[in-house]
Amino acid sequence: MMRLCAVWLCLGCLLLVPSRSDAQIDDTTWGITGGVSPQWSMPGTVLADLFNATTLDVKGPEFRVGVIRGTTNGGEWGVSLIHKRLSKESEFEIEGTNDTLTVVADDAEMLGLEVHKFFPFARPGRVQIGVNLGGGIAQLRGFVSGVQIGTTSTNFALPFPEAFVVAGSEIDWIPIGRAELGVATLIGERLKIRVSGGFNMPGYQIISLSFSYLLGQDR
Amino acid sequence: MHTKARRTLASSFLGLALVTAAACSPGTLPGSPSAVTVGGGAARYNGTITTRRVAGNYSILEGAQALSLSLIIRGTNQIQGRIDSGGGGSLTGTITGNLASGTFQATLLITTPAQQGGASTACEGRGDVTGTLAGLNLVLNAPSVSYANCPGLITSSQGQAVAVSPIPGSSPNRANVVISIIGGASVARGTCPGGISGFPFTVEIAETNGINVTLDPTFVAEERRGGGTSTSTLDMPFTDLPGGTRRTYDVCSLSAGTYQAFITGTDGGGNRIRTASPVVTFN
Repeated sequence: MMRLCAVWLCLGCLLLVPSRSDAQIDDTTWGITGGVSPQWSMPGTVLADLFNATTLDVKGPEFRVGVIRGTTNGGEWGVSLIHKRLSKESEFEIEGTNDTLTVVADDAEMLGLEVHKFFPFARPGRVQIGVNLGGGIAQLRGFVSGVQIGTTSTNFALPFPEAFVVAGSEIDWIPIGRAELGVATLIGERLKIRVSGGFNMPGYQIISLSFSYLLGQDR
Repeated sequence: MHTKARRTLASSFLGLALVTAAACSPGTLPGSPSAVTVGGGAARYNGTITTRRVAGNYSILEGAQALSLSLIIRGTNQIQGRIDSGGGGSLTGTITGNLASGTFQATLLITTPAQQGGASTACEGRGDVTGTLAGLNLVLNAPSVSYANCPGLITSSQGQAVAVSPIPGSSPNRANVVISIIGGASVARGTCPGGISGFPFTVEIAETNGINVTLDPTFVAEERRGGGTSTSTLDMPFTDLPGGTRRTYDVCSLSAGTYQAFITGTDGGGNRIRTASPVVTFN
């Protein structure tokens, strides 16, 4: 919650930065970017095989911060640090050799790096409509509870990567990526606010909010 | 004057030397040996163990053999032993009293070399063992040891040993995996996760010799309820036990009875590791 407030505070501060109404940054320049997805999720069994799971119900918020290179009216590419937190309601089942391990997220997260690029394909006024594509890698971190239910229940506190050991593998890193449809609007000449939604692998998100702020000189 | 002063000084040194010589007389030197005492948290015993074949078409060495046993008390009444002689083994159980005066009941996991039809096998046996501890002396008796990988073989073992050190023996090339129950092996009724009434307890698996262990992907939980025994082979969610570390897991049984876990693995030196938890009793 505090991180969400911090993001909004940053956005508010950026809106207060004065800029000439006719200024433009047409040369490619560096900038910063950040964003938040209130909830990304991996529902059902669609991606279960990827994790040797029988069922998946994983969800949580995502936060992003990074650097970009782009122009006011064009697209941009960048590299961002991605933090996906697993909510405590996240649960999945791993089919072992002898029994099923029900894994519940206690304090689990994915932390990774992603290269992304926003391709605007339509520019009605100060609005850009486009797709945001990205790919990278994330490390599984934190702890989960693995529960074996029988006549006696057994509960193992496990590092997140070890949750998959009963299926014969330990997963430390997973590929991440995104393919989103987004709408961005220019606020002033440096700030773009973008609302997007789509695939946020592993999973999807209904809505994601992000901003980009270019640091170059006005013309 | 000078001569008199020298004589006085020499007399003083002579007197001082006599006093210090008496203080360092034999029997009062700091390094003089003292008797081995037992009664702390650990002891090392040396003695003999005699194993007899009770049943099974196997040949084993039945004479008296050397026994080297290290015992450690963990928690209030849990006892863990490591047998370094012969094929090696472990015993895990509970003690009544202490190492100087007490009795123990434990599960013995022992490896016995055996031959059948010209082929040699390291038979992995399991049995109940009882023992008495009196002063420096230890006597143990395992009337029936059966071997899962040598069908039909049953042996009995009796051993006698004397404490030779309060320090457990070292085995620098072999991991020592100890399973204990945090809070004791006698568990009172409490609350299981979800608020259900049951018997919750925590099992700790520790490696105490600084050698990495790869645990087998399954372990065995044996439960006894109402006169019946059920054995479950469960997946082991973690297989790495780095040297000097410990892992825990929580267990909760909904009904009264007993619980015992058997864990196996291989250490960094390629040695087979077999160990059991104490029998957990639900009161």
